[in-house]
Order: sequence, then C-alpha cells, then structure tokens
Amino acid sequence: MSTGPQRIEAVLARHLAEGASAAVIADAACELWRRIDAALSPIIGRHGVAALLKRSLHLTAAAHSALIAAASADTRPGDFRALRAALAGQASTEAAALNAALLGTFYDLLSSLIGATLTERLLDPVWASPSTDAPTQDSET
Amino acid sequence: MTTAKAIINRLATGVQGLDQVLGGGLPEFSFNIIAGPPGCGKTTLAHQMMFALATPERPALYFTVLGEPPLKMLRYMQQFEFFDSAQVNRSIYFINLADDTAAGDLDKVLEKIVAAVEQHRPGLVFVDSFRSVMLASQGSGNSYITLQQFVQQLGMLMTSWQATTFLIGEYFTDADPNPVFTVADGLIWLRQSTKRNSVVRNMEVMKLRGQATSPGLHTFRIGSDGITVFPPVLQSFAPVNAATETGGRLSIGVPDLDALMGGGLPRGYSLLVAGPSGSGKTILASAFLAEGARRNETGVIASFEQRPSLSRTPAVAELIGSGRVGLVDTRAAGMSVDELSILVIAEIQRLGASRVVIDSLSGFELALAPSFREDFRESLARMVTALASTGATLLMTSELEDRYDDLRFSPYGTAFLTDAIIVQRYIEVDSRLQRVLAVVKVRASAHSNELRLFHVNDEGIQVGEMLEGYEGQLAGRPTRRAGVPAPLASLTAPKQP
Repeated sequence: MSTGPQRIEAVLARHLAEGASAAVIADAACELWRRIDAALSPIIGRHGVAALLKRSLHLTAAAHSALIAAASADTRPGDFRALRAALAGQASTEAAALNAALLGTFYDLLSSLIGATLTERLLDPVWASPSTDAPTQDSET
Repeated sequence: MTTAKAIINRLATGVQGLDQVLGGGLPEFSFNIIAGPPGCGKTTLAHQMMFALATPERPALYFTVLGEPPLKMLRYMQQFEFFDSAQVNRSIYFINLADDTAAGDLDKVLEKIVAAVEQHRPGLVFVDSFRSVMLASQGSGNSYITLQQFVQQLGMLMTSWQATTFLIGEYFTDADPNPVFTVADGLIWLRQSTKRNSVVRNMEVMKLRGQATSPGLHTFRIGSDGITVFPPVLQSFAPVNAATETGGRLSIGVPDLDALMGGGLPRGYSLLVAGPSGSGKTILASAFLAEGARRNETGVIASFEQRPSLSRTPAVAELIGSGRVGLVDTRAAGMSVDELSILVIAEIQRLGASRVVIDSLSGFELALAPSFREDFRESLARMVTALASTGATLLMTSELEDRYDDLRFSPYGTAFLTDAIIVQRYIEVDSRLQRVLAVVKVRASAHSNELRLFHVNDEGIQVGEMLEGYEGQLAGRPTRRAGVPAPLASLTAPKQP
C-alpha cells in the first residue's frame, strides 16, 4: 500500500501529465497544505502546524534553493502564499518535485516526533480524498 | 409513587489498583480533578484511563490547553503500552485550545468546548492542564465570566451531556482553598516524596462523592504499561489451596525441628526464624520449600539478599527453575510493603502456593524506600495478616545481631506479629563457635523448650542435643558446670527426639 505522500505525488503527477501549469500545481499544493493544516491544527494548534511547516521548509531549502524565500518569509499560521509564489515561479515539473520533497520532509519530521503510525492516523483525512481539485472541506478533528 | 434511586455506574479505570482505591471504580458522569505538581504522573493517569475507557460509542475528548505542547505529549504518551494509535480520531479526539486560552477569554474557551462536545458527543472529557486556564484568565481582563462561573458551567454542561470529566491541573498545595475543588465530585491528588535519593510516588483520593474510598496515601509506580497503584491488601482472600483448609501441621523439612515444634508447624501459621548472619536461616527456609515440593505443594519466595543468585541454595534454584516455587521480583527500587504484599499474593494465587518464604526482613527493610522505614512495623503487621489470609504458611527470616547482654528474638519488635518463632544463636564452647537453636513460641501449641546444638552439612540443618552441663548459653559464653564432661562429640550424630 502506498503511503500518503506517495498518493499525493501521484495526484500531482496526474496534473503534470495533463499538462498543468506551475500555477495549477502550486494551487493544488496549497490546497494540500490547507488540508494538512485542517487535519492537524485542531490537535496540535495552528502555531504547531506552522512551526512544523517552517522547519520542513528550512530542511528542504538546504537542497532546493527555490524554497529559501518561502522558508524565510514572515507568515502567519495557515498562510501559504509565500510557498505558492515559490512553486508558481518554477517550471511545472520542478514545482511538483519541490512540493513532493517538502511533503516528504514534513511527513518524516512529524513521524520522527510522534511515530509513523500516529502520523498516518492523524493525516488520514488528508489522504482520504486526495483529489486536490476538490473544494476545501472541513476535515473532522 | 416510585422510589427508584439514581443508579451510579462505576467505570473500571484500567489502572491496576485504582478501582479499589476509588472504592469500586469511577462514578459515571462525575466531574473530577487530577491534581499535583509537575512530573507526578497526572497526564499519564489521564491517558491510561482514557485509552481504557474510550470506545467509538463512548468517545473521549482530550482538550490540551497551554501546558505541555500536544506534539510532545503524543510523543511521550505513545511510549506506554496502553497508547493505541488506532483509537486516535476514532474513539479519542485530541483538541487544542491553546490559541483561545492564550487570549484569556474563558467564554471563548467554553464555547469551543461546547462545540466539540456537541460534535463528538463524548462519554469522557479531559482538560489538560486546567491550571493554565486559570492562569490565562487571571492574566487578562478579556473574560466576562469568572473562573468559578466557568467551572460551574463546565461541570453542569458535562453532567448534562453525560460525560465523565477530568480537569488535570498543576497544584502545589492541597491547602489552597480553591473554588474548583468545591465544585468537583472527585479530587485525586498525586504526589512525589523525595527522601535522600529515593523518590516515592503517592496517590490520594481526597474526595469522591457518593462512595467510600480507600483513605490515605497509596504508592504507585509508572512502568512501560502505565500506572500501577498499590492499595492496602484487602483481607478477604479465600484460601487458595484446599489443603490449607484442612488444618493440621506441616513439616518444615527438618524432622528434629518438627519434633521440637510439637509435631511440625500448624498450617497457615507465620514463622519467624531469627538469627545472626550465617547461622543457617536461608538453609532452613530452603528446607521448608523443598519439603513442600516433595509433598507436591507449591511455594513462593521473595528474596532480598544483596546477591540473590548466591543467597538461593541450589535446591531452591532448581525448584524455581522447574516452576514449583515462584520467585517474586524484588529488584524494583523504593518498594513499599503494600507493593510486596500485592506481588507475593499474586504469585501465591497464580501457583496455588501453600508455602511462602520472605528472606529476609532485614534485606526487605533495606529495599524499602526510606520514607517507608518509619512505618515498617505497622506495614509488616498488615502484610503478615494479608499473607495469612491467603491460607498459606509463611516463613520469614530476620537478621538478629548477636547481643549477649539482652535476650531478643527479633528486631523491630516484630516477634508478636508471628505465630511461631525459632531463634538461632552462636555460642562459644571450648574455643569453638557453635550454633544453638530453640523454639521460642508456637501459638496455641505445646513445644519443646530445649536449647539445641545444631550444625549445617550437605544435607542441611542437623539438630543435635542439648548442651548438657553448661549454663549461661544465651550469654554467648556458657560455662561448664563442675564435674560434667563436654558433650560436643555427639554433635556429629544428631539425636532423634
């Protein structure tokens, strides 16, 4: 069975295959992060989610300089505009790869803190409906 | 007219020993506070109960406030065996209230709680930590309701929603006349007492409406399986072995000694074997267990010698290896007498044991946390009674410093606790160290009053004759009465009484 991040990658790959622009990929990625925020913030708080994303951006930016600006941006919890701008400024393939790397880092970071089982459990609502084209849904806490 | 009273269901908390302390379990729909200083196990207790009690039909809500960051709490709590990730977001929902609490707006916090309660219809609600709610509300004037109103509303709301509720809070003193304590139905106080380099965890149920709790401090331990509470042992055990009900006497494994006791030790009695170091107490205890095994009886031993593997005789090691004698693990630091009682009784019940050895009380006293040593005598009395109530026959050894200027049979004044006493002593005869023993007491039974020489060889304890013609033996240096020959040669051929 594929992990959550792999399923998300598959969705983005489908967008790419359909010839989506970087902007579309960036929107899809931000929708994903909103879902993650919706799934986790009731449990660990919006600031908790924001801190994890910030740390993931810093870790990923070490190998992907395109994320440096997003990593150092002064954003409020739940604000993904800097990330969207960073992704939209790339070629669509690169944007999808960047987001996949960031998601992988975030997933590993959370797993290192609370274990893979609980991470998968908490992010279940995110993967449950991986169509990032779907309108925003309030996920159950 | 109906006279039916409300029936209060009592929930099994899943915390070993806690239901007994609570007086039969946790009253359903009660509003409780778990209080204590940082690090005393409040959050662990709450989680353990939550994972035991929550089901999809009776879900639990765990509100985290400003205290421990939820990520860390989840990280550490999942180390316990009771933490089942599969229950998260299925029967257990963690909800973070930090953002609302930080603003100090209690109305908003209450609103959030109400919304979550309406959504999930929980059977259990936890608010951790409540102290931070109080501090936040004091720190700002954003709130229209006072803390007391907040607690009252919360209590009313949770009872109406039929949710058993826990407020978890850091409080440092139970003398604090906190209004929250008045509202609560139950108040469980956790403490840690430190004495020298030993730490003992204690739990006290200071209040629980509607039921009789077990009063006082109860020690508990936190292990990989969570919290285990050690309440005083209830003395309502049915004898575990049918043989123990038949009365009669049992052989303690040294025929001559059985004879001195008037035909063996009455079943169900407790026997104290007191003597100086090296006098053969452990060997007597081994003979007691081996004799039981020979008669198809099982036994239990709790050994407190500094190097347990050395203190056990080969015979006992073999009995432990073959499962005929259960070994109680006594290595945990800072034990309490109640804890040992519970462990020993569990082992007696597991094996249906009829013989129990505690070797030795002196080692046990050293293994106790210093704070329990002051109450050693009282606790020991409780333990002896509890063990006696199982119907098993108990042999305890006790180190007795050889003092020749006073006649003592046990340290700590424990002699009165036991039904029978055998004392061993060293005496000097003709520039040799010899051993004597005597049966000091067998309750409600005739027994010999002879002071007998004995020695230990490969077969165990060999009881000899009385040291005829000597007087002043208990003073350690007996003197031969004029004209009486030395009888020591007879030691090699024990006399049959």
